[in-house]
Amino acid sequence: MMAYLIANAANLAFLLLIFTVPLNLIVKNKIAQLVLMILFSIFVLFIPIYHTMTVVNVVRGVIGDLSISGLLFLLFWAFIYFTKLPIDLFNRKFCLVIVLIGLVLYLSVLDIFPLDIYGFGYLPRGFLVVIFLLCILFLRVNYAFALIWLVALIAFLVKLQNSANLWDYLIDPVLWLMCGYKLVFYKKSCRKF
Amino acid sequence: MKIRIKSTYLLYTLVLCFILVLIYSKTFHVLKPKFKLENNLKQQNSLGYPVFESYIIPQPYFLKSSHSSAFTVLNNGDLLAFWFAGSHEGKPDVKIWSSRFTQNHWTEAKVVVSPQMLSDGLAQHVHKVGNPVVYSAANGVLHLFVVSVGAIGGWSASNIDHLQSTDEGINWKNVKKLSLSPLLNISTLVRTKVIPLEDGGFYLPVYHEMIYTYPELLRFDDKGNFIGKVRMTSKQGLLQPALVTLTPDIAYSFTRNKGYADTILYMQLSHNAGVSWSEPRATNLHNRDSSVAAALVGKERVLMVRNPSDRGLLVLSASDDGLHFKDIAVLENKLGKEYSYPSIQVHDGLIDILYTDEREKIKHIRFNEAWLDKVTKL
Repeated sequence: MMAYLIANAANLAFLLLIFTVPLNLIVKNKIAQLVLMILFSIFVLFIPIYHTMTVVNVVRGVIGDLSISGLLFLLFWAFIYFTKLPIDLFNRKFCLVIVLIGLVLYLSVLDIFPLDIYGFGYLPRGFLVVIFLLCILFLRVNYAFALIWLVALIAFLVKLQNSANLWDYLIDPVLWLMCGYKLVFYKKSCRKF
Repeated sequence: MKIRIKSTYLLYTLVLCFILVLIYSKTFHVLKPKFKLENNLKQQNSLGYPVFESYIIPQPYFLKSSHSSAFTVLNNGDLLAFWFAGSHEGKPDVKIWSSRFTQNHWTEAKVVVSPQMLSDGLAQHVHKVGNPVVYSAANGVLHLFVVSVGAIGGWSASNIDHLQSTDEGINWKNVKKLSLSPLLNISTLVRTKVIPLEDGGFYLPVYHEMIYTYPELLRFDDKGNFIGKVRMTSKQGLLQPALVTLTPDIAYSFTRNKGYADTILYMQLSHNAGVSWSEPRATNLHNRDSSVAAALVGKERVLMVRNPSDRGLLVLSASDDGLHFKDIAVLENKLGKEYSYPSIQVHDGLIDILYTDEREKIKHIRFNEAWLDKVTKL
């Protein structure tokens, strides 16, 4: 049951990546955009492209799974996309914090830093203080993401993902790249949430 | 100064603290590790005379390339071996094959893991498979770790899949991908043998390969759940750590050297059961980017199997201090051929070594301590 949930949550997360595609550049009509999304969803989730593997299976095989935070963030983004709520999900301070966390984390894996910061996520006893401070920081710079991390921590507690590392619930390369892109090409379109 | 506390912020902080305390309490029970010493003392060596035997594991004729064997000793003394074989290393037709050594012969090899089986089990595309490592846990469960690669990339884009068997390797289930790196979870590989712990858990030695190469230890609990890892050194170019446990706290680790700066075979020492490791120390041996295997025989004699120069020469060496080795036997010596990737197990007074034979087959040699004593005196 848990494996089924995990696999489908992973599939959903990849499906939500469609919201990163600027569909309005392809078609202007909202209904046409919705139809395009449904067709795209059917294709990536159900049509085998290599043996029995679908697009999502192949992509997951290459880049692994997204984090719970990434999944919730994309869900939030999808919600904003449809409701047109005036929420600046990618405010500059938030993007900067995520980019910095990702930089430190990913460079430590490449042994650029002497500390194995990713390794702290396996037995995060002392490291929980840092997580607490980061959550409080997000509370100041992006309230929505602070809530997302809270849910991700609960997900870690009940082992909702197939990972023993807390970091895998909090951040992933897709979220990091999105924030990096938004930071470089930042254009404030709506108010801070 | 006027202090204003937003009720929502306060509520968030309280809930956050509560969750963090729960996470803390959940990880609090993890014990400090202690090595479980291997069954390497003289027990059934009552023969008294030297024994040396060799075998080739039978496999189907169409397998052109076989490499990277690993094996474990089952409770009844049988050996269970795994290796990858197919048309050529890295091709999609390469699968993990297995054979059992029982009543002094190897059974015909059979497929246990294929890329398609992993793809189906993980719901993720697996393009090719590589190095297997097997471990027979104290509770009878067999753990098989296999290097796999998705749709693109070479071995640097690998990750490790974990399978378990409760019927001595007949059926494999619970396939999981170990989550070991935040960078797309790639570039961690496995090769060398598992080290058991007293709490029923074990250490799996692994190595990171992309950009920087370094060895790591993965810790598993008694239920086979992966719970943490230790980076053994930041010295560039060391991989495939082969561990030898001396006491419940002390162990050596010998690593393959990629040869960026030198070709010295390095040793690291741990005094706290693998929690931390000394800086690499140079032994008197050389290693030219080839996997090594090591084991303890008796109380302090460390045996090492390695390729000192090219992979056509496979040598058995021994040491009493982990730093100064003496070559005691040449196991293979044919220029232009490959005898590599040894794995070793010591049990019941017997020493078993498996290695790649001319890149086509897997060879098994077995000898006892009397043979070892004889060649050491020569």
